Amino acid sequence: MFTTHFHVLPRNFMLGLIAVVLMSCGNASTGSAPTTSIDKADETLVIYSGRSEALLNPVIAAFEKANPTIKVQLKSGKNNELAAAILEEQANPQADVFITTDMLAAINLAKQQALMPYQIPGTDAIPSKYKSADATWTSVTARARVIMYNRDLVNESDVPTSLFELTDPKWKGKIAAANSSNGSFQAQVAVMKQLLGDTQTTAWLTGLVANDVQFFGSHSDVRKAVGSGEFALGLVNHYYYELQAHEQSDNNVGVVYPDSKEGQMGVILNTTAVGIVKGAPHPQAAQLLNAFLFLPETQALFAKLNYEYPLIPGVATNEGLTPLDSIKTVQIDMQSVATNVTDAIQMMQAAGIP
Amino acid sequence: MMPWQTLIGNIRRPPLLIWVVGVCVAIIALIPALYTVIRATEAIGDTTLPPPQMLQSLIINTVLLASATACLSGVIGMSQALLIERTILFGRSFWRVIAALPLAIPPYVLGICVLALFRPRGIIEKWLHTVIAMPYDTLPFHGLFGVWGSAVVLALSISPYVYLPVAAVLRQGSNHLSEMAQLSGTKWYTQLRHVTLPIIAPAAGSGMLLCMLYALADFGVPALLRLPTFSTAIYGQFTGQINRGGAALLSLPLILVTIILIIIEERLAGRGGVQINRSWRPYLPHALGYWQWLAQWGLSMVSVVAVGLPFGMLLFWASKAPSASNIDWATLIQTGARNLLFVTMVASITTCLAIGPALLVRRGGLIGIILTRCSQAGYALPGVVVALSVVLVVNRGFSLLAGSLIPLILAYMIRFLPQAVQSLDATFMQIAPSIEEAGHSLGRTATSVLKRIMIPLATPGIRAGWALLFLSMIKELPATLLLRPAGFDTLAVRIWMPASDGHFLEAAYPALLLIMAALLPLTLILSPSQHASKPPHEDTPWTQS
Repeated sequence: MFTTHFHVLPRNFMLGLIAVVLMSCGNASTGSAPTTSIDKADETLVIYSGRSEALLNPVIAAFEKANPTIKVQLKSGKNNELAAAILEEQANPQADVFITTDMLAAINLAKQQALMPYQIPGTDAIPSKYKSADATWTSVTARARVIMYNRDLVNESDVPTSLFELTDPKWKGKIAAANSSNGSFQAQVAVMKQLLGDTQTTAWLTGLVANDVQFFGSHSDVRKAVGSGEFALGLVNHYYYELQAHEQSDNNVGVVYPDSKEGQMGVILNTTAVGIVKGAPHPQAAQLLNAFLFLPETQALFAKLNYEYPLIPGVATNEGLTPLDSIKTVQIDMQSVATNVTDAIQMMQAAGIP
Repeated sequence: MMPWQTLIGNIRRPPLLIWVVGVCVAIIALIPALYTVIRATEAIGDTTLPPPQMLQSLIINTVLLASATACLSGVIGMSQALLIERTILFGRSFWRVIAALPLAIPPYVLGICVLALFRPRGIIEKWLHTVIAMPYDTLPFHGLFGVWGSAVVLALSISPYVYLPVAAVLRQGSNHLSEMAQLSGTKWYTQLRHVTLPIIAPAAGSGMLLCMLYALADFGVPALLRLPTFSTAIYGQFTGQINRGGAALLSLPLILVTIILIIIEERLAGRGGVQINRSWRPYLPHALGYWQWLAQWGLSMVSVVAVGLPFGMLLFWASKAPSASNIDWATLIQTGARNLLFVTMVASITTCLAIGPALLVRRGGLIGIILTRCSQAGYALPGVVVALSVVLVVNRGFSLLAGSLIPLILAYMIRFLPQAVQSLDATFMQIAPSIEEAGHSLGRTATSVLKRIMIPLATPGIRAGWALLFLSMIKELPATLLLRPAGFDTLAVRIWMPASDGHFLEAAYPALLLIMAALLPLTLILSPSQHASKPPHEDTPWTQS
């Protein structure tokens, strides 16, 4: 993991320095913007990622090892924070690749013409519902929305088997979830809005707030709080449960794939997705990374380290993980759900979710 | 006085360069603030805000946090200053340094440590559970997540903002008033109430208001300790959606409250002060007798929690970090070196720019005062709001700059200009105008007077002001999180990213590096000349009295 690169001053920094020197001479240097044509080769790769750093770092390290001439520069944040940045930077794009925890963010960015088509080798077998028709974005791995619980605090027989039981007053103050800036939660609400309509979704959201759910900044917080027993239940993506269950301590946790019985709506599925930013300063490196993400070895890395569902056939899911095709999942057209995201966020905020 | 003099001040030849710098600084500082307000009013129709009861709790939390932090840091800082400067104490020079040390430890680092220890099912509760079989939920560890938890953490971290100015006033204060009080037979508490407290009141008051502004703006501590405030809510709006309207709209009340506080601060700062006259004598410290041990114990406890606890926890985590090979030392050192370089550069530029407004306010002209007030706009803009306003302005007219380093540099400058202007202003105040006039009457140009007289005389103050800027900038978190270009993580970001996900071990090494980097400028602020018990500049005949 040791890198021998020692670029103490990246290009951005030097340009900034020059611009500041100009500015301090009295020129408000509004016109002299950083240009993008300095690199001869694509030796840097700028990734904007909405994923938790710990979940992406092993893959980036493997990519840098496989491509020793490329140095990855990562900016992690929330999906929408980075999507907004990509839109705002359209006049002078800074990012090469956008990696999101939620395919809806990719769909919406593609709709705004901010992504560049690239037919990634090795992705033919990925079902068409998990990639865009014009190859602007492609799903990398799949994840399910689940309820995790602390086995010390909740008997297996008492665990809610439906998301709608989370508003039951008997769980008041005992549930942890992510907050309204979290892409996976936003996407879940957008799906629910499509399936159930506004009234029922809003009722569910206000029910959560009335039940004193603790809304955290990240799912890692949620899984740790459930693992330690601070909260009994947590609403997370399935691999956060797996990560907690495989911790050395605080690991007495269980999982329910909710609403998966006959007559129920099914488990809500989502995917992580990747796309190349239109006008990316380092398009070759971006394509290399895109291809790298779908190599069987890389997909195996996501499956093994992060317990995600790989989307390439032939790559095994981590043992112990409930197979994706054995679960009843929500059947819905995500393209049409994508138009709901803004409304979903507004509904969450109006319900009082921070 | 001629009318033009009321406008541009009372010195005949104002250096043109200073005017240019002053105007530029005011524009840079003011436009983002103004534009945020404009953008917010545009957003009123088309943005869903949190429901009223949530807004209400945001307001209550924010105001309570700010007031509680100010009161607590006032109590801590004033007690420290009084005990250290006015009583006989074992190891006084040691305590002088220790009481200022929290400045080198970012509040969010203390917050991370407190969270790990005191959270429900945290290190302490688990330990009690395993060792003495204490059942869970018997001790009120949930109290950590109220206003008081955040207020205590913040107050312990920022009490030096009260301690340092109050201690300085006490060191410079003369004994003659106290002697008179003693001669008239008053008890120590009467003396404290009628002599000492009035002397330190202005310094303590403006220090406490600074703490209040800090608490209003702080993002890291309430975010860690689950206290929804305006700063955390704006951050949520900023990161949670593509539309910036909601964030701008939520910024309005925060800007408003902050402006009110600044006005109060300026009223307070103008008053009081210590008279220095020929009867100045060094203060004779009180003997506390056996009470001294209680005082020592109190001072130790505060420092143990504010300094010892984070330092100890970080060292513990650092030693536990799985194995050294797991830490990417090359990247970490590179991040640290780049961070130091960046902060050094931006702090220097900001200090140079601040000379403009600081000199203009000294001239007393109306335009100068207005320009200076404009450069103070950053005070009214907490880190998240500065980041937002820079982004809004860049989007509106300078989209080529988006995603580069320039918005980050601008945000740092806007955020910390007021601090730079204020410390420079205080430094220049100590140079009598007559000495400047003398330069002019000897035929020197304005630029030459500035270069040959003003700057050399003000050098120690400029250096200390620069050090304070460096400290604030290297600890800056929210604006850096939101504006950093890819690959430009600072140490603060490297602490925050893993720690906010609960991976404390990985945050330990960057945090230790940051503290070490912050200790360097702290030695500039605490330089020996500031410790000597003597009236300010008694050996410089040209200083104002």
